[in-house]
Amino acid sequence: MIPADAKPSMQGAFQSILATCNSDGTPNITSVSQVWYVDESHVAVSFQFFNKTVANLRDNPHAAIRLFDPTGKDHWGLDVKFVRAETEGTVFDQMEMQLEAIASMSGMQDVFKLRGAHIYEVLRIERLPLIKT
Amino acid sequence: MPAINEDVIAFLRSRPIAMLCTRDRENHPDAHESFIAEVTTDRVICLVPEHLAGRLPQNALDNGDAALLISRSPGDHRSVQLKGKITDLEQARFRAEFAPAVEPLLPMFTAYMPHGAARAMLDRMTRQPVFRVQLDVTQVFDQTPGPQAGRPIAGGAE
Repeated sequence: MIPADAKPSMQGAFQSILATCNSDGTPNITSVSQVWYVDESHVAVSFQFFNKTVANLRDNPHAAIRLFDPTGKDHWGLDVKFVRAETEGTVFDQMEMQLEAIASMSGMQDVFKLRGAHIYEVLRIERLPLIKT
Repeated sequence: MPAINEDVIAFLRSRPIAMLCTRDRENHPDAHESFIAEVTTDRVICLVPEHLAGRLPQNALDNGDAALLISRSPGDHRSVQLKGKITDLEQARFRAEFAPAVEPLLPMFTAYMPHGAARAMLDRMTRQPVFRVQLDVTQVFDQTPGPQAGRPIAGGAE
């Protein structure tokens, strides 16, 4: 389901956006350092600070992700559903390694710390060209 | 007490690209790239490109619940989240009147992204149909990465 064209947007060049909503209808939106390709129908999002996001996901597993293509030409819009949190294993280890690199490049070594890899099922993914043709 | 203090207003005016979040009646969220055109102590006017608006028109009409994220990234990652209600949505049209305000931002954007991408970012705000969104702000949160992320600046507990 996730096209190969979308994978460069998951290499950590730019922050991504994660939107959630609690059960009373209040939306919440936050930046995330990593959206990691897991398989053709799942991505993992780095869990670092977002307590409100975690609380919202307990109420309502539906979320939206925006990815930014490193070329600056496209966004990718994803509708996703939270599946589980992982704190060990291959995906977690790979994300932790990449996050250390991102933190080093952005001077955030003392701030960015991976607390979990949140696995989401991708329900829909859409390329959003930034310039309307 | 105003929801948006002077410090946050200055930050919003220095960082006009933002992400707007709305939700549908099933509480499914959606995110929309937006450009901050005007800021007052309790209100933000955003422009959202029509072709990136997704479910914005329906969501605004259905409930109006919204959150707006402004982040200085790349940079020091300072981030602020505003929450409130969309109280007005003008239909999408070309808004050339905003061009004089947008064009001077090109050097700021080229400082952290390729020139072509920065140019495209400005063009899509002035040369494509955009919705004008009025967000009445009731809550403001510090969203800067770190242990203080989620700290309320105004309007209630996170």
